Amino acid sequence: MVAGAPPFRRLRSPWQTAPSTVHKGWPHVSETRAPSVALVSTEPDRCIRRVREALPPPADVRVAPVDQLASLPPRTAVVVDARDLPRPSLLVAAKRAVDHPDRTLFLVPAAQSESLTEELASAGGLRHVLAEPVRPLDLHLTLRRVCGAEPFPVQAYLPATPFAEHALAGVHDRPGALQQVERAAEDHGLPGRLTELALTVAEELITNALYNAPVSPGGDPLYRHLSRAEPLPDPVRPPGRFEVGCDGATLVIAVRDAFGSLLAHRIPDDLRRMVQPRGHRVVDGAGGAGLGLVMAYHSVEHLHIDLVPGRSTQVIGIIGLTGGFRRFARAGHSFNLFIGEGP
Amino acid sequence: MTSRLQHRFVDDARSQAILSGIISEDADFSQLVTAAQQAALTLRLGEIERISSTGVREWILFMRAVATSPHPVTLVEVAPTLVRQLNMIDGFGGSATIASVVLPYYCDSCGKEHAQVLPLTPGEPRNIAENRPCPHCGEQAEFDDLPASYLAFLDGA
Repeated sequence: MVAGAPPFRRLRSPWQTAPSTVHKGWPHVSETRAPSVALVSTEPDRCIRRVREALPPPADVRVAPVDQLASLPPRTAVVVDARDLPRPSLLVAAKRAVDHPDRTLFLVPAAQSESLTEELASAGGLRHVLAEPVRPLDLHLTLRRVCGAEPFPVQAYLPATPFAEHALAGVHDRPGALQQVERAAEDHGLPGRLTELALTVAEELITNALYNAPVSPGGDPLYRHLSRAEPLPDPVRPPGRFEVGCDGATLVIAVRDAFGSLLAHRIPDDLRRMVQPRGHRVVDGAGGAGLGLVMAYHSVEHLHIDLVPGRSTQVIGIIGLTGGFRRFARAGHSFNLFIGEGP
Repeated sequence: MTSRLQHRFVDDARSQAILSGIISEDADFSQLVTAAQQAALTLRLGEIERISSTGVREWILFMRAVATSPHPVTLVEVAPTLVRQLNMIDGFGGSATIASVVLPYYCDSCGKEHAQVLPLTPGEPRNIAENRPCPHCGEQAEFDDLPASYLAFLDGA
């Protein structure tokens, strides 16, 4: 089994499944060399085993003094256990993240995830944060990707659970997709507040995929300026895809578009704004309110974004379902932003 | 587009309205703005299920519109989904008086939710009971949010 106590003991959940049994079925996951990980922690014993077990052998996982981060090879993944890390060390790690954002993962305690994530995002290089206690499968999937694995399908987050799908070509597709979320919530007896979160993240991601994502062949936004109360003048081509899966312990929503139009140069600012716990402002005028990603992030425990510029964007939202909204509110927020190479 | 937000006035004087459903880009507040221009208006918000990002903007525009009225606007039984926005979004409450909020409770024993209304009377303590008897099964239901931060918006008021 995976080291560390799984957060949810009462229900059998795929999060408790040993990674070695989980990743067998993914032909998409294919590292070309053994992963190399440097762990920065004041108490490495509490997570080095988990990191080792989350990676396929022969992973090279070593404890690294923070002053050696700058001299590590760029391909080395760095896991920063931010619990109890002295502030000067945290700042050094944040600098490493600015230089190698794709290869730096921060583990932050849930109770401090808001403030630490906000501070790290302000430093400019934050792409990967997991709020502790992190679910084993979550750590496994994130580490694999941070070490260079290819993108995996959303089903990796809920193996053996069927997902409902819905094409997204226009606003008329939104009610059907939201009904799929409601059906999953009803089937599993979700409390109303958790259902509200699921519907919120679904609606925001779908609206983004329909109005914000489509761009012309030259990269110009097609519908971003439109009021969200107006239907789209033409169907989105190629259409996006909505997926939802739920096993009673975890609900996973994914929305994919075929444009990859999130602007790379805006990412640090957008992420900084997204993780702000309060003080958000709406954008006046036509178009979106500028809060879609903010509301999605604050409605899930884990937001995973896979961006391939000019090609596709997949956003996955994950909500743990045991213990009601209160547990959700205490769990903190995790996110990943993976940026692939575009055409 | 059919609005997912409904409202109904509960008196002939149009001084009280109950809002229900989803606040989104299609929300139409025009009748409520007119009512607020003519007399004091109380909005009961306990039946709001959810709000979208574009709904947040429509709501803030509504709050700005009623702020120009000489008559007060009071929000009562503010639903948890709107309390979240009060805590996150600048200007969400506008100049309205927030007279009470809904406190959500969740019972681990039977898995059901129930709500209590907490009056926000100026000068009086705002205590959130962490546990209450579940009206469905009699076991202890737990406050289904974080008591320390649920009313954080009042600190910035």
